[in-house]
Amino acid sequence: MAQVELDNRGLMPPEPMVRILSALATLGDDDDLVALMDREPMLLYPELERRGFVWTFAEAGDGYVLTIRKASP
Amino acid sequence: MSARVTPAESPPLWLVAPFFLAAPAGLAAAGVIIAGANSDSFAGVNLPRNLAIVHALVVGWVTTTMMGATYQLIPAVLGGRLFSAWLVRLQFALHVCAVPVFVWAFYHWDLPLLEIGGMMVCGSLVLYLANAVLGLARGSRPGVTRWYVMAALSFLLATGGFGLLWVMAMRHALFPITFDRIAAHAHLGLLGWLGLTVMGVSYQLVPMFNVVRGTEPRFSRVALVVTVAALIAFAGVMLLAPPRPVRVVFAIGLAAGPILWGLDLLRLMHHRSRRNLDVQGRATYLSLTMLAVTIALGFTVLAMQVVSPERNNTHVVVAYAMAGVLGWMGTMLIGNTYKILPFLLWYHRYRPLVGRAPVPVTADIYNDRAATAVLASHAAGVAVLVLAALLENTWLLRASGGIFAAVAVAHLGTMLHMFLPKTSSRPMAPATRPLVAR
Amino acid sequence: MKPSVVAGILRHVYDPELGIDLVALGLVYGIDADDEHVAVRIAMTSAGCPMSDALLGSAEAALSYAFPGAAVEVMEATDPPWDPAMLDELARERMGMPPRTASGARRGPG
Ligand code: HEM
Repeated sequence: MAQVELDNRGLMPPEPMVRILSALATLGDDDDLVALMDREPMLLYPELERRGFVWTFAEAGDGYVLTIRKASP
Repeated sequence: MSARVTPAESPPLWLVAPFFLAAPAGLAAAGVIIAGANSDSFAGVNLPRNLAIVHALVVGWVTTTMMGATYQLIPAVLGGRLFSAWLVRLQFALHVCAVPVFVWAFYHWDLPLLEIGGMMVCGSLVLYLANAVLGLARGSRPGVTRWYVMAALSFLLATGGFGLLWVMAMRHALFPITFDRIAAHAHLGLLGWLGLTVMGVSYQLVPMFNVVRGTEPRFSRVALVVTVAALIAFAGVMLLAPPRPVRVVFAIGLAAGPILWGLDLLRLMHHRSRRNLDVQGRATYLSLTMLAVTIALGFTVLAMQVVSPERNNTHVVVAYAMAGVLGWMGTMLIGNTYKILPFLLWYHRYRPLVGRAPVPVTADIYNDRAATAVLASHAAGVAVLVLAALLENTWLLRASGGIFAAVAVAHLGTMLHMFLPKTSSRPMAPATRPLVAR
Repeated sequence: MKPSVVAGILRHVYDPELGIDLVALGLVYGIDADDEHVAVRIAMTSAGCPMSDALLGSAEAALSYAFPGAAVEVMEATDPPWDPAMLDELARERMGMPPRTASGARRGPG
């Protein structure tokens, strides 16, 4: 089980979303993708759902952290 | 049996023409955004740029044209009467202010601005709906087209309502926007509003322009009922997040109406008396071809989702949506523009002179070769775009954007050209008048 | 005036969409004319077609202009319904339909 980290702070949409989606393409079944965000990626969620991922979104310091992993079948 | 002449009313030229002239700006904007695309375009369906492209096309280009067309057809063909000319002008002004804000906000993913732009667009839609519904309610000819338009107007209201609700949900974090919810909004808009309008209006116009006699459409009622039922069921079910097999059934239901319509249109065209095709006839055949492509791509999307849901199939979704909007509806729209606008011009400028001076006919008012060139370039653009999406080729994608921007300019050019004074290609009556002078 | 003179006027009133005149289209069902009045019965190519409506108005305008002294009446004829079989050879050619007779259309001047 590995953790892939992505710092999306200071990036303008759609950059964070695109980076997350391309990182997910290589994410292993048991891996976590942890992304630091400036804002909640509303448009990303439907794409995550469609690809069969689950996520949590939480405040962390003055930003947010989004954690994504494959849904267990 | 004879009846006294009661000429149908055609609305004033400058009430309707602005919609047709402004609409290509939406196609041009979409073309420019597509031309500036990069490989991200296939990363996800609802990337801000993709949403901006979709709404520039559907709200900017297609809906604006359809507003003009229905404002013309409701009094002239459907026998209704527009509620208020001032309301039309007000609605036009609001619409042309709203769409740029709306598209800009999508592109830059500026949610507060999107909320404002979305409200402005919905305001324009409500004004339009009021005028169109009241116009149709004020008496109209029997016929299936009127029911298609009524149904389409209802779906437009639902589409705008859901769209605005989704924007507000995202802006104020009311509830999550799921993929199913987007699909509900998208299909209500694409098939419910745009699709039913194209289907209903062509049931009226295609037999009329191509002189089809003795052949009646077989499925005009069935296609409407099936489409309305399938859409309501689809939207209802999608809001409940159904399991995949259920979606497949409903998606097939959505395709049934357009397929029946396509078969009907092929039959009507086959039995037409006007054998020489003009730009509208060519557009009809092109549009039917693109509909077949759209349906094939739609089933491909469905199959991919069932077989490997976790795979990113954005590129096929893009190909499907663009084949539908730009191909099926766009070509039909371009073709009919070259009928509706010349007729309006003839009606207002030249009809009062009939019998007194040589008067051009509609074929003299627009240039069929230029119009066909616009149509062919547009079709080429659609082919390049669909190919680009299927191959995930960014360069081809950009090229198609350039084609669409050029098509928009050329299309506008051919429309403006219609407004120049035209001479008649038909002989005038011999001078009868002096002969009968007493 | 004679019906043939009236028909001569209607030969120069064109369906704006098809670019073919009313007589060639076979839309003129009846002409009734004397010195004081001209009454014609004209069919429409399709019911509810705005072109057809406009056509009747055009015919009325052209006849009123050509026969200023006469009372002009243009009636819409609905029986029998118009049919493409009523097109004359000129109209058939313009619409790209094959000539009616197997031996081919008469060619030549006039
Ligand atoms: C009038 C006709 C309209 C049509 C045909 C239409 C069509 C579509 C389509 C096809 C999509 C999916 C595109 C994609 O995901 O890339 C979409 C998404 C969307 N539309 Fe519309 N739309 C219309 C009007 C509106 C209006 C008036 C609003 C807002 C006021 C709106 C707001 C949205 C939003 C917010 C999304 C994306 C939802 C999300 O990703 O969370 N639409 N629309």
